Amino acid sequence: MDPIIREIYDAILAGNSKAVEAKVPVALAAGLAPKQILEEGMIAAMAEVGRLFEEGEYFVPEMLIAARAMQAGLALLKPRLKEGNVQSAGRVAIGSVLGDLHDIGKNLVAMMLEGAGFEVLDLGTNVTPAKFVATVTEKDVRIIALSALLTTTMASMKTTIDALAQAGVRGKIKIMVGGAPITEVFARQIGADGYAPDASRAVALAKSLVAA
Amino acid sequence: MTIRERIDAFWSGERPDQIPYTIYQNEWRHTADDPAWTPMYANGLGVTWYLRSFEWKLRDVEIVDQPYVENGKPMRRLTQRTPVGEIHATWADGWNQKYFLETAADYRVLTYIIRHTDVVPAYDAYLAKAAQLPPHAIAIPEIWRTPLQRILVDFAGLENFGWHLSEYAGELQALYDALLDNFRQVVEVVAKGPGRYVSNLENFTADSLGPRRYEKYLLPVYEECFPILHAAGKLVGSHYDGRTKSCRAQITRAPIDLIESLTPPPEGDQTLAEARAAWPDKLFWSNLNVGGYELPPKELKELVLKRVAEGSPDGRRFAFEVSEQYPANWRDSMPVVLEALKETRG
Repeated sequence: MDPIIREIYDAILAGNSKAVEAKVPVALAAGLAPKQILEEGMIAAMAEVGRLFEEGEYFVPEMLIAARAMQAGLALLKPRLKEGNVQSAGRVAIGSVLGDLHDIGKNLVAMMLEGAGFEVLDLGTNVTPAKFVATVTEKDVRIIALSALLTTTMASMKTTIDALAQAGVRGKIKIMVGGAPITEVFARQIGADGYAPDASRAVALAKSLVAA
Repeated sequence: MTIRERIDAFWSGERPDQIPYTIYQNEWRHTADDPAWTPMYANGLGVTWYLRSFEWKLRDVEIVDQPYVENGKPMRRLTQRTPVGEIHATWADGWNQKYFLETAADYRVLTYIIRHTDVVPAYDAYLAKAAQLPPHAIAIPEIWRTPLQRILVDFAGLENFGWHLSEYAGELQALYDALLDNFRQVVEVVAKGPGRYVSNLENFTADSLGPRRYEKYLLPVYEECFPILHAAGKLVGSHYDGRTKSCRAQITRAPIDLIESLTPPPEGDQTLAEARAAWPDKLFWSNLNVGGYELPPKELKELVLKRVAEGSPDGRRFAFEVSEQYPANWRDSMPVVLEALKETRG
């Protein structure tokens, strides 16, 4: 790994936004390709963050500050990525379903997906099925990610999936679901394409869904 | 046994006539007048009432609590003004939209507020409220949260907190120190007051801290303060309603008598069998998963008895409760739980 990219990688792992902001321009000035900085420095670092979370070495605070550091670097890199026509891993629309105002889990998943190179449209909380449908229709989305923390709002996931089917766009997208009360069985029952128990595994799931 | 006697036996580590079952007053209160509850009290359901035997009194702090409407939505803004600045938080539908702590300056203002907060006994008020409660109610004094959990849950929110731990480490430590001094006073006051069991409404989930921070920030507070309550003849229960597995070893060492709101998967991450194996001597006040209440009656009953077998093979140190999500079908499902619990009679 290039030494400057290694420094970016390490700074993201440490959640050091200032170091990332300082090193990305250095890497660009040194002639390193934006795509290489993104993939080897940032996405690889966030993948390691996800691994450390799954291993029980990192916890939510570490994940949050790493994601912020990644976002700080990505903000500097984005114009150059656009110039170079670097494609994202896919566009994901994410939201907490109708009736659910919780957003921490959803935000974590959004950050980790962005860290993995996905373009994330965060629709917020209490998102109506109609808004998900409109987003799919208008935004060329490949994945819809639905979040619910309450058993009382889990039913809105099915309502949303049904609305997407009724609108004739279900076949265009993959649907992933998550949240504390959600299970693999429930995901299958409501017709989702996948379930992830945490933010790290949501990334792996999203990657498998776009590859399918 | 009455529900109070049953709970008392549970707290004592003795075997009650059957496994107790309670619901939080704040979950139940919205439907308190519904007559469907009455037969459930007769069948053994209790209601836990968290009351304060202390009072926080602020000096040199002006509080402005202001309802307003934003985009047609009713909102609440709470502002605290001090000579060193002001902080505010907002809520919509009871959910925090903006937390008090967002900047380093906010930390300094809140530290001032905590340093200007006195803890005074409110024993008479506690006893008066407790005396008015119905027979199915169990009055419980509380000590609120330990310092780091107050910062995380009450003042910053998880996302700000994660960021502030590194970005505002000095300010966070100063606030923590102020909160710890205040918590010590709360414990001293509650220790001298009424109540046998004291609730630490910690709202802890291990993912938000991890074992190293538990070891650094939570465990020393428990080790310093809970023995004061023990010396006063009280038991302490901590509200651990989330995941616990990654901090299992640390929780084993914590002088917590009762893990309250313990919830098996999928909401939590330890089965009752795992938790019992890890903490053989701790009391468990455990939630059935809300999904469990959705099961057909026969399956719900089987789930209840399975959980009892896992969490309390000898019928001791275990009770059920509803401390989190209120089952929407409570009229149908909670009587099933009560019937199932009759089968736990020794």
